[in-house]
Amino acid sequence: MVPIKSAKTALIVTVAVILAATLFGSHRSLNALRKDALAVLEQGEYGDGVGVRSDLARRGDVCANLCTVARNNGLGESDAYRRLSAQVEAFRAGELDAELEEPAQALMEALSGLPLSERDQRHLSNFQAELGSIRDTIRRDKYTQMAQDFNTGTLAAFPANLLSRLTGVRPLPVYT
Amino acid sequence: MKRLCSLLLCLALLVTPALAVVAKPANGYVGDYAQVLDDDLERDMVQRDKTLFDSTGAAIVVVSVEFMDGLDAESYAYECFDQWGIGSEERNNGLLLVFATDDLNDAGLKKCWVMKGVGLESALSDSTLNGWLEDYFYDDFDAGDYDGAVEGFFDAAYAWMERYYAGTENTAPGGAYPEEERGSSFSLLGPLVVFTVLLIIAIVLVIALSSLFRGRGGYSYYNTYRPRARIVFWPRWRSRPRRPPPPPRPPDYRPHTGGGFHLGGASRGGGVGRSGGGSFRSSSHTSSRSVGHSSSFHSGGHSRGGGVGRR
Repeated sequence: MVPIKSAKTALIVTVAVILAATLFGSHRSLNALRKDALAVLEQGEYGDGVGVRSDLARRGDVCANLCTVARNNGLGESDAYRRLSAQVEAFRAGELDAELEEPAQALMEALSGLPLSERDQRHLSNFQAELGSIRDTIRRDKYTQMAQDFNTGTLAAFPANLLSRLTGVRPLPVYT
Repeated sequence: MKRLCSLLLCLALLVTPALAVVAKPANGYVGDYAQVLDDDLERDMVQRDKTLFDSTGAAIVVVSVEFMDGLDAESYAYECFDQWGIGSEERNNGLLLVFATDDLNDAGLKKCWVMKGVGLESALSDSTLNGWLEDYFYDDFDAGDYDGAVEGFFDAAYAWMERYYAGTENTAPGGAYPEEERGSSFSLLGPLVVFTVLLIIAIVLVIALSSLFRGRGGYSYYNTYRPRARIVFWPRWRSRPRRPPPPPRPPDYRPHTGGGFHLGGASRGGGVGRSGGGSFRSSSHTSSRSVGHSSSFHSGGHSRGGGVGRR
């Protein structure tokens, strides 16, 4: 091991080491927080699979069923139907943040103006209930709180806001 | 002195949080705060709920209020669920029906909400709950027949609970229950046995190896002396190398035992998972999943929110 003879060199090396350690350490810490939150997203707060991910999947299923009812009632060519079915396809392809809520509401409004059978009216009522319930559970889920705390609390504060940009730590997705 | 007392009282009022929801019903199952339900119906529901809780940990809690203190019905129901802990802590299988007799929503309809515990999320869909409300509750509720509305809903929910937990035909205390919780169902017995066997083998190996390296009169538990080579022949004119002094004996080591054993899942946020006290505790002992063992449930289930009703 060659000793550093120059004080200036030693200072530069020290500063470089401190900077590297800071960046590396902050990247690790922020990513650890991120990873914890993503685990809750995937597996739920108690690791039982009941969480935002399952809620989003349920929403996708409800919207797909809504499209079916709409198609059965002659709305298969409508803009509202096309918008929702496109979003359902996108969701099924992996886009978790595909906008389903608003197109679904639009399609349900279109359906409610039609003379539906009793069965389809019940379906429509159930879809509305399900979508409303899903919206509530996502809003209250622990992942949503963790994501908001991480994005608006941790990442927004100095020096985490700077370090996250330097180390490429992205904010967490928030679903509604 | 008077000023001090007044100041203390003011401080106490400031720090005491104002509860927006009513207190948990004393009987744990029916809270008729609006005084609209018949006493016989209330007694019947409480009795049936007690039986249901003792056998399955499930609870169907019904609460009537006049107003919801400015909250929407879902938020009010969530606060009740969160603060009271409905259903068993072990299974989170509570169901709450809360309705207001004089509080109207934006659509001019009386507020009501049904919320289920986390443990019922996969089994009991919101569509089913919505169906119960539409088929058994709304008509009588809107007409002011609260007894009819509550009884219809309660009967439907109770019948569902009975069917759901009767999967193994052992809903009575002393029976086994279906595995309704999501998640892994693999048995820990196999890996535990393997681990125990490996541990025993490891201990035997350690003891055997330590006895091989033990010197004459040496200390098997703290032996740092390792001769580099076995000297077979040593010239007589050289003295033998001195054996290093034995190391000091280590102090006695007693591992510290851990803390408490928790029954049931953790609570979320403020007040979730609070126990309902001894009145909801079954007299039977802790369960296993095999037939012939009875279970004890502790009140304190929680919900993720959601549900159906009229906001």
